[in-house]
Amino acid sequence: MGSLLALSLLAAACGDDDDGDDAAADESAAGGTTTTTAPDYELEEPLRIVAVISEPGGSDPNAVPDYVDGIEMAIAEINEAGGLGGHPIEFEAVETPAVGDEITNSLNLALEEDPDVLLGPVSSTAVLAMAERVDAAGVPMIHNTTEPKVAGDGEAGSPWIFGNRPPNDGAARIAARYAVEELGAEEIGQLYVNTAFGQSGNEAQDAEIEELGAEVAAERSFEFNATDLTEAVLAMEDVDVVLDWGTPATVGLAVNTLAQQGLADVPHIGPGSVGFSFFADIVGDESLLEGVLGVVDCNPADDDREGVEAWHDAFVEEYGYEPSYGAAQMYDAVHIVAAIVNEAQAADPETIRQGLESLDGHEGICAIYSNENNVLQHSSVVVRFEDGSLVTEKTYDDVG
Amino acid sequence: MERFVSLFVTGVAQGAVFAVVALGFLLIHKATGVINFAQGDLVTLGAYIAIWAATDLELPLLGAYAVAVAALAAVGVLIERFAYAPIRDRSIHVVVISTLGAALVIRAVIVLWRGTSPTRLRGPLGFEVVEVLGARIPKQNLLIIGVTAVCVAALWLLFHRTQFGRQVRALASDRMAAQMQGIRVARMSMLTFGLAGGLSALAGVLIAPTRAVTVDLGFGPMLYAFAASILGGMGSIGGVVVGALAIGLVQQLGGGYLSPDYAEVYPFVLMLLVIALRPQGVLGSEVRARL
Amino acid sequence: MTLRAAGIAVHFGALRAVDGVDLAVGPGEAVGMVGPNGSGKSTFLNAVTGVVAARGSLEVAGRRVPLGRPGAIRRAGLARTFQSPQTFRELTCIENVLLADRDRHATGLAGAWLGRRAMWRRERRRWARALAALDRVGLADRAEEPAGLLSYGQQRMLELARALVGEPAVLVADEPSAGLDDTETAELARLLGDLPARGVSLLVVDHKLDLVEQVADRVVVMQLGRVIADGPPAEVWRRDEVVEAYLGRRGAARG
Ligand SMILES: Nc1ncnc2c1ncn2[C@@H]1O[C@H](COP(=O)(O)OP(=O)(O)OP(=O)(O)O)[C@@H](O)[C@H]1O
Ligand SMILES: [Mg+2]
Repeated sequence: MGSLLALSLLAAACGDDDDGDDAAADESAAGGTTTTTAPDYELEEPLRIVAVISEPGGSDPNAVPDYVDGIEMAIAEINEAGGLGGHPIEFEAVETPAVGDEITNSLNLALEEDPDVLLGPVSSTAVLAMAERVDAAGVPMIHNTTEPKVAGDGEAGSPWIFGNRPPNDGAARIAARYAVEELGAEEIGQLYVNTAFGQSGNEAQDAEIEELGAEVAAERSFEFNATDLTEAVLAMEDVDVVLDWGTPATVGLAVNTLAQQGLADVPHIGPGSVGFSFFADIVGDESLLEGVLGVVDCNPADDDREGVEAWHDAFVEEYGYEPSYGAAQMYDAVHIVAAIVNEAQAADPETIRQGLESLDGHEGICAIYSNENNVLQHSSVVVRFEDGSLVTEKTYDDVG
Repeated sequence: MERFVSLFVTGVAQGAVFAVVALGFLLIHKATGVINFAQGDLVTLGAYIAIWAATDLELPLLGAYAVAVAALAAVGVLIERFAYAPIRDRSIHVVVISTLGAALVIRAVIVLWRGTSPTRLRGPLGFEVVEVLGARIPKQNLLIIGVTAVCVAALWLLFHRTQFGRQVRALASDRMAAQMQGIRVARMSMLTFGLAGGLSALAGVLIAPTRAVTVDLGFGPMLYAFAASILGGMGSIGGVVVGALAIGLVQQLGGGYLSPDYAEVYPFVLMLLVIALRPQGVLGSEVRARL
Repeated sequence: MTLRAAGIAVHFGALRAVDGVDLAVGPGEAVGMVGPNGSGKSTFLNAVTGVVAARGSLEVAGRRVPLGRPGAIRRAGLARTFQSPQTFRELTCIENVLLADRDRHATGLAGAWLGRRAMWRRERRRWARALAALDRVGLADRAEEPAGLLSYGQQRMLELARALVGEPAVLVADEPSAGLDDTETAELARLLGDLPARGVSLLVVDHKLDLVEQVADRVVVMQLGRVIADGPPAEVWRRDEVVEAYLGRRGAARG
């Protein structure tokens, strides 16, 4: 707890992020946000945050603790520093599976909690299932997915729905850019899974590769449940880099097959799932991870922006595991909302919605957040494995 | 040449896995007339049980595999008891839907038990490869082919050299007459479901080390095994094995030499062609045409 | 009694196909059953072999057996051949016979995998027995051919071999001579005639009265689902009701 308090003081330097006129000042300020001393105003009612995210041990067997821990860490900091408008923030997390019929139930339960803002969900399926009802209810939502259909111009988009992950096609472009600009690749191999995720990533990469004057030398797609990639990998024999927009399972399979075909030293750039903790288990042999790179939202374990390392260490101390980018993003989401409330001295849904809409240059742990098309984050990080942990290679701030 | 060898061995190995699954289909179909659509999820469950036995119980790998095969034989019997026996006299459609129901239950149980995050089952040979005519062949693929060959030979003996096998074939030939010969139909169907469950687990532990294990592990193999069964005319072990190898090879060589974009489709094109031209299957005789 | 059927009744809607038939066949006895077409002979056999639902009671080799359970009845020692032969066409001849072998040990999976040596020894004995049975009906040289390739008459013989290898207490044969030529019928008569001496009781339904006379010590006459006469052939043929019900046409033809 001591470290938490210290952190909240340390993180205190920076403030609001309203009109953008002091955005430049914000950017030079520390990561980790919020106000120093609670501004002197009185909210009529406390800010109520409700998360539609499952915690481990509940109904969703795939729940990871990161998201809710990130939220609770931020709320604890703020409340220990006096809360918002004279009240501590109130928080509930509602069990919300990533897939299945119970998603809408969970949303209904969450709305009954009378939230001023909803945080989550963390799966595309869930956010698509919730979009219409959220729009009708008029409660702002910050979801942690890259689902393009709920972006501002998406078919399920709503002025109430914001996402705090960078867009998938932007991240896919980063993979191509890194390959050409940093690795000097001219002949590029592409692997991707035949899903919306894989196909849109592949198309974005095609465009980027062409713009950069490199060439797609081989391209192979496969089903999400592919059991063998020998043919696809053999086609990668003469490429400089393999860009792989597959599922964690197929990326793992590709890593194994590349190694078996003697192509382990061809750089292999995968999507964000490479950063999941279970990815190393899938590959099964740590030495095979050496040639693997991934485009992740951020890498709190290795980020020299001010305050990030302190946050990372505090998180590890408090919760005992490496925070994923999701933990950082949800931590940031709370601080974004708190900053909006402090600025407007009001905590109603419409105020928060407006604050998110005009968000510009909010410095967080994972990224500097600005709204564009109801997507709040626009940066990605290329990481690689070193002794089993993720090392940041390069950060990109202009991801879609 | 290396490319051909590589694709060929991969095709045979994939075909071998499809064959093991398809033999499960064949056994149950012969003894009961039913297509058991839970077969694919039994493959998945087998892999997960092996993972559980190897990691949670810390059994040596072969022990874990044995646990998986034994457990799945039991699960096969349970499916027979709960999803087949109570409705065996109903229309074939009801029974097939019931096996689909069993498949969904198994899937739900796996997700509740292990989650949907991908994991891994170690293979006894890791990622070792051998060079054959310049091609790098994963040893696991050779293991798959070898184990399948032994398994096919054993099943052939079982079918043709034991009373059990003859009884299964008699049931397939004429159910009523078989019953009148005193063949215990209920016991036969339990045994075949059990045996097919064990075969699924075998397919699961063979294929799992070559890739990440997710709840979808068995789905592809089941589809291809089904196509293989149709190709083989659902009649004989030989037909099914030939059908499965044809599917594995068509998939790999078609993907390698025609167009990789349709690799997943070639097997089904082949299956449709065979249905159109030889409805009794590649090796089927006209006696078997009644499927 | 080797076979005792009491009060057997089978109704198809309003039709009383079998209407309370009592029949007993003693050890080593050979009984013929005759009667006009549609008098209920096959239906009676179906009832005692368990393939149609019937009322009444059944005893095979001295043990009560429930009606309607063909497998249990077969295992109790009652074997049957059919009006149209029911062989397993996809199986070889010898496999058809092997299926009916009395020795049911090591027939399952456990036997196949655990008791391999024992199984192979037993399996060899079974093959020897099956081959002997095929030899008796003159099919030894067709042992490894699929049964589907046999002629109609040979299929009957195969069915007979299959029935006999199980060493049944009683064999029930429905129209065994149907579709056989004269030499085949003579051969059949010889085979059936041998059975009582080998300890197999016999109940044979046939239209060829000379065959019945040749193999049976006793004849039962059916009409409209009931037994109307029961006794030694020579005596039964003379009874008025039999002549009227069944032999009438024949008698007329003779006269
Ligand atoms: N499954 C059935 N459903 C309805 N009626 C039946 C059925 N089987 C037999 N029958 C009728 O029962 C009666 C007895 O038939 P069954 O076949 O037993 O006579 P059978 O004495 O064997 O005649 P055949 O000498 O022609 O073989 C006949 O009237 C027949 O039409
Ligand atoms: Mg008749």
